[in-house]
Amino acid sequence: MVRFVLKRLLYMLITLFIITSFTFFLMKLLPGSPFNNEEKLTDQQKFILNEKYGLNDPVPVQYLNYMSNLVKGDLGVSFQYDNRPVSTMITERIGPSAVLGVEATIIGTIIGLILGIAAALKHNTSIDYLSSLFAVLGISIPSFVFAGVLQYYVGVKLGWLPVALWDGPKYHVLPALSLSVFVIATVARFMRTEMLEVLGQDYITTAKSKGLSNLVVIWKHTIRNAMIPVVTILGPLAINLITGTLIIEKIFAVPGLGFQFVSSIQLNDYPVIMATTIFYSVCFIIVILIVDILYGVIDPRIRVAGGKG
Amino acid sequence: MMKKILELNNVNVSFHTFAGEVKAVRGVNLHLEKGESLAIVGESGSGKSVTSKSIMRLLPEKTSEIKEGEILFEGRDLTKLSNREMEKIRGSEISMIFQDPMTSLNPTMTVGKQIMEGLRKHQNLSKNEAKERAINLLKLVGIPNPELRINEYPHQFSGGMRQRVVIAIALACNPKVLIADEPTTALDVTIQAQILDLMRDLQQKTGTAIILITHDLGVVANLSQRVAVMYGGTIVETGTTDEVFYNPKHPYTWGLLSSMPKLNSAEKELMAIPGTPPNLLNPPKGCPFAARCPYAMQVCVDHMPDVTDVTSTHKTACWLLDERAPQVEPPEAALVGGAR
Amino acid sequence: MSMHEKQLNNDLFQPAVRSSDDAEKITKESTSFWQDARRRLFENKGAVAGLIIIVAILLLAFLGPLFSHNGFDDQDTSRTNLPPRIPVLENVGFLGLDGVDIRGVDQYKMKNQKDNYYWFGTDALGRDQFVRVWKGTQISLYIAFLAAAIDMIIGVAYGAISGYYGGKTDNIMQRIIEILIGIPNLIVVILLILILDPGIISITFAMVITGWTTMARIVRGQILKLKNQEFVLASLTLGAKSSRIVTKHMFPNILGSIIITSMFTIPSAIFTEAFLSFIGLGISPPTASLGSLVNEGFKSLQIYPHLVLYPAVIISLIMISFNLLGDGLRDALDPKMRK
Repeated sequence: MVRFVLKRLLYMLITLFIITSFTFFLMKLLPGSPFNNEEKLTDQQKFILNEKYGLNDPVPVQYLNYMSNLVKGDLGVSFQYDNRPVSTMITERIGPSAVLGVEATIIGTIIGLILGIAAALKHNTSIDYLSSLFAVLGISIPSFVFAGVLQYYVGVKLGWLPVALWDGPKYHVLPALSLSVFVIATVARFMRTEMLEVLGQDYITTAKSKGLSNLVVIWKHTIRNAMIPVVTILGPLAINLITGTLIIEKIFAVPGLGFQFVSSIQLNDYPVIMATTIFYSVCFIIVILIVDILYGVIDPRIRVAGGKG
Repeated sequence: MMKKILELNNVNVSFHTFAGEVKAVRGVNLHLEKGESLAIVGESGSGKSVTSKSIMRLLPEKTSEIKEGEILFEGRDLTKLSNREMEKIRGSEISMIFQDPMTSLNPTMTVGKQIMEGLRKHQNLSKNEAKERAINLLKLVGIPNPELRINEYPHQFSGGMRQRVVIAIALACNPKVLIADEPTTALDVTIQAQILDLMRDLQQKTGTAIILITHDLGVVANLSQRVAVMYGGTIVETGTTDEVFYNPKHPYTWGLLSSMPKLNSAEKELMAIPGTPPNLLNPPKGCPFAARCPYAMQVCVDHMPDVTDVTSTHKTACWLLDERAPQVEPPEAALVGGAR
Repeated sequence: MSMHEKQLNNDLFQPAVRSSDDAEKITKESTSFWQDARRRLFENKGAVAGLIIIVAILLLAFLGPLFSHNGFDDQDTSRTNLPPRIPVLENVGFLGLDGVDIRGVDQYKMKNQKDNYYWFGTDALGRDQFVRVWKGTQISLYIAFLAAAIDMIIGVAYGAISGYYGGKTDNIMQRIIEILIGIPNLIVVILLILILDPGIISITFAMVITGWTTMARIVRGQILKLKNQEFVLASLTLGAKSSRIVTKHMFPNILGSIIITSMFTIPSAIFTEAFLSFIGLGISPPTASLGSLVNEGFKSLQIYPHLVLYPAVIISLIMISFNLLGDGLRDALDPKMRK
């Protein structure tokens, strides 16, 4: 188990190194300096600015500086917002995004599990068909469509909930719901498949032959075993949540990291773009690592064998 | 006469499939006496597993149905019990061992917990009492270091050891009837012998009546006092093991016996029964074996044979026993050991 | 027994006359794998519906623009922001296809366009939305198919080499994939588009650069599984060459997985393209893709919902159809691959 975690950690560091380097050099490939667009500046001023940000140094030197600053947690300063440190910009904005992500995950997982379990237990009935239909729609229809529909009908036409912004629990409902649709669908679909698989296993017959009640068989033997592999879809879901927050925050004008990221793309604010991509990658890699370790912890087959790899 | 503990009267079981109704078990009559061991023999699809699962009421509720007949356990008709009442019988009065020990244990639960589940449900034992009993059970089925192994997971056990665990689970509440559905089929030959020895031992110790489902006649000779031969969802011959082995009356039994390897036989080749079992979606209206039977007569194709009593314990359903039928002798290969 | 005895005469007790192969008769017609798969696919209602919708959308995407005399970038300020109006259907009130906007004003009357019909309405520059939507569908589908095709070529080659040669080659190739998979592809796509400038080729390229790993992993897994199967070993023992084993024994067996994986690449590529448009990195105007149309439409969602409605519906339909078809194909080609 320890070896397994260490190996994962090593991979994580390699991946991180590649991502940061890749990001850095891609940014260097961009034509010109970030100040070229500022027409008010004289060449003299541009030179001073470049000097100040170390942009006149040779690229390898800049790379080393960037990497060492990164290790110290210094992500540079924004070009657009009065030289504010990017790390502050990220920490200020992470709150709403994190809340939104957690809300969507919780809503999505709970509803998804219930739908998936219901569909499997009522296999080939209308409950199953409805749940499967919902799952296909939820996986297929892009989140901006859901967000648009909710915003237009619930927000604009019915006026039940605020259309946009972030100012108290009422404001969370629509964005969190829009974001959770994909989670619900993915979890429901996966759980259904796993449940059906487990229900067909011989050990379920064994459990029944012990005289255990249906409820105990379903709860202790079926659902528990079916839920273990669900952990594996957390990785893809994390990616989707990141993508989702970019879209949803923009639509509902939620002042989160995603909204800021989209704006920084439109404003060509490279330090913010770089820092945010690196931040997202770190989040994703940590999720993957946790998923791998968690899977080993909750599945005794892997736990005792000491890791699958 | 010993007391009948389990009695199946004219049991019919059907499966509802997309293609139509599959009549998997058709009019089965069987009984099991207290403490005895009965073997049900037949090839795949003969209905032997379905029969055993219908006793336990473990057939899928949505797609299958016990259409007719009664299953009497100590005088109570199991087919009429509610699910709740049936749960009380399963595992405590009647329990079951399955074919593949690799898949019949829950991989994410410790072996001890799986044994204790039934105990705690049926006997209201405390956690510690159940644990003690589980350790004793593991000892009983011959698992070394039961105190340690009780906390291990199934994948840490070998196939034979897992089957011992399955047996321990089945015996946990001292059931009166134990149904073993091909308990040794998935095991290595050497392990098979161990498991059979264990089962014979345990039967002597506990006095549990056993129904052994198998397609392996060698296993039958080892363990059972009586045999029922199933074919095409019906029982074609029943009798004591000696009667069926040494004086078989049904051509299908002859076929089974001929296809069994024998040490002292001069035959170089094993006899096979040509053809495949009947399609139970559309069962033949006559004898199910007629299509493969070398002695088949026109009557066999059109009419289901009645059960003829050869002795008070030996019954056969075959038209050859009718006085009007030609006399036929069983083939040489079907004679076990030569003595008759 | 007595009942029987009355009916049965002695003739019945003569040996029955049967042909010897009665017992061995095979009652079911034999079908090839692909025939069987096709039958299973067409029995799946969802998959058939998906297939029909895909064909319909493909036809409309290419034929639709021909129904209008307007080009996709013909601007005309005299006909801006018209709501949809369709002949005949305009008389069915609740459909909202009568050219009246959400405030109840007949825009066609107001802007002197009484004789014109814009089926999907017009946008802020007076461009015919019907033409733009189908042109956009063409571009979105083009990007998706291109990405799926390139993914397939790279993925199959990489996976096949890795799986077939095994050993050290496989080890190194798999380590590379493991690292690539750890990188969120979304991030790579965004960064690449930033430096490449948005366009059909750059968007496709950005998607492919991380997208091929899924296909490579699946193909490798299949090849590894097949490599040790008896029929491949049998062919080897009979002296078959590598090329023959790969083309005759392995390829037909992994074709199913390849098709299924590609089928799921298409909707995800369409989504990625739409997503990029949405965060401002999509196809640049006047060219439109479904994503960029949705993005533009969102800006005036509250006043002109029709602008976002049609591209959003079509993008959803495409994604649903491909997912349904993919599910159907998976069940038909490989019932065991259900996860």
